[in-house]
Amino acid sequence: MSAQSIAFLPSRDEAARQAFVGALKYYLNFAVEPRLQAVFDERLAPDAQSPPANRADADALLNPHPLMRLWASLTFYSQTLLWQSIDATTRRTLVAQMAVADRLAANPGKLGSLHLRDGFEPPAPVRTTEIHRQPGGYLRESIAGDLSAALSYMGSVDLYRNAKGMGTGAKPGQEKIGTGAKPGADDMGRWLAGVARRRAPDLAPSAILDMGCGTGEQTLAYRREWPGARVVGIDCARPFVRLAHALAEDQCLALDFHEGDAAATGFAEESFDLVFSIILFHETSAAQVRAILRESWRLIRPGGLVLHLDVPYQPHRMPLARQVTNHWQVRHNGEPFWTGFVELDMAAELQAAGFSAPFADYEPFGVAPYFVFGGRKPA
Amino acid sequence: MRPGPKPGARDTRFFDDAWQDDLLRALATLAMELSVTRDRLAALERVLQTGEAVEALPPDPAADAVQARARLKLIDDVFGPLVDRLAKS
Repeated sequence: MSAQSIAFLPSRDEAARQAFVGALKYYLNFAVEPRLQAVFDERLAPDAQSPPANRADADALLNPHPLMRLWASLTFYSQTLLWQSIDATTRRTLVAQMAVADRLAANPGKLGSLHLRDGFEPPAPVRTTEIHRQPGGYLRESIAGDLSAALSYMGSVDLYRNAKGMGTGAKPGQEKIGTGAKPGADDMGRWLAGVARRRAPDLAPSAILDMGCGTGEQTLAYRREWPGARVVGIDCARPFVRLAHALAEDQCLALDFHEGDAAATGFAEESFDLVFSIILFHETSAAQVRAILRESWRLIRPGGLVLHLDVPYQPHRMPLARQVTNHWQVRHNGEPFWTGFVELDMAAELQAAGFSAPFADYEPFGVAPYFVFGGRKPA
Repeated sequence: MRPGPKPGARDTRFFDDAWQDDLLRALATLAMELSVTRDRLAALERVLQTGEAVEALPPDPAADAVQARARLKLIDDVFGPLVDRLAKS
C-alpha cells in the first residue's frame, strides 16, 4: 500500500502506539473486566442488603468499587489515546490522501459515482454527539473536501476489533491481540454476504443497498461478491461517503455512494434485492430504528432480503456486571444508543415496520457472535 | 437530556481524588512510550540484519506476535499489581 492509494498509513512509531492502545483495551476487556465480574458475583451481590435485580441495582453496587474506578479511568483514557494516536497518522497523511481522492474523483473514466446533498442535515445523534468520542465526530470538516474524520474512523476499526480479540482468523484461545490499526479489510462484508446466501439461497441480486455504509470497505465486499449487481452505499456523514467513493475508484470497483439518511433515502420503492447494514442501528435512536426498518421494507423488492447486523449485547445474554460496563460506554464513551438498542424487542419492531416473517437472532463472526435481524419480502 | 459525554469532554475522572486518575493515566502514557521504543529497537535490530530502511522493513508476523505478547506483559506488569490489590479491597 503506498501514498498513491487510499489507505490509512501509520508510520512505524504511530503503528506501535496504536498497537499499544489496542493491547491496553484488550487487557481492560479480557483481564480486568472478568475480575470486576468476580468482585460483583462473589462479594458485592452476596453482601448486598437485597439481591440486585437489574442493571440499576448492579450499577449502584459496582460503580463505587475501586476496581471499577480503575477500569473506568483507564478505559476512558484508552479512548483518548486511541484518537490521539490515530489522528497523528491522519494529520501527517491527510494532504497526500486528499490529493489521491481528488485525482480519483476528477477521473473522467471513473466507474462509480458520488452524490452529495447540499443542505442535508444529518440526524442526531451523529449530528450532536462525538460517536466513540471521535474528536469533532463523524462530520468533522475544517477544510474543503476534508477526509480527516473518515481516515481516522478507518484507522480505528481494526484497532477496535483487535481490542475485542476479533482479529481476522482469530480462534478461541488464539485471539489476535492489539496488532494495531491497518487499512480496513472487507472480511465482515464478505462474511455477511455468506449469511445472506444461507438465508436466501435462491436470491440472485441485481441491486444492493448498504445503509450506514461508513467509509465503504464492507460495501466494496458486496460488489466483489456479486460483481453483476449495482451496489449503492448511503451514509449521513459526508466525509465518509467521500472517502468510500475514492476507495472504490482506487480499487477499480463500480459503486454509487450517496450522502443521506437511511431512514429517508429517497430511493424508489422496491428498488433493491438486498438491503444490508453493519453496526448502524446502535448509533441511531428508537425513533430512527423504526423509521429505518420501515424504509428497508419499502425499498426491498418481492423475494428480496433485508439483513441488518449490530451488537449482540441484549440484556438476557449479559450478566449484570457486564450490563453495567456496557452502559458505562453510553454514559462516558460516546455510545449514546447502545443500551437503548439492545433493550428493543427487535422481532416486534420488525413486525410493526411491516416485515411479514422477521428474524432476530445471532450469527458467529469468528470468535464473536453478532445480532442479525431482518426478513424476506414474499415473492 | 442527551446521554453520554459532551462533545470535547476529555477530562472525566472516576476516583474521588483526581490525582489517582492522573497518575494512572501518566503510567499508561509512559508504558505506551516504552512499548513504542521497544518496538523501534526491535525494528532497528532487524535493520542491522537486513540493511533495509526502518520504514521499509517488510512485515514479519513472527516478530509482530512476539511484540504483541511483550506489550500485553508490559501492561500486566504495570497494572496487574494494582488490579490484584483493588480486586481484594
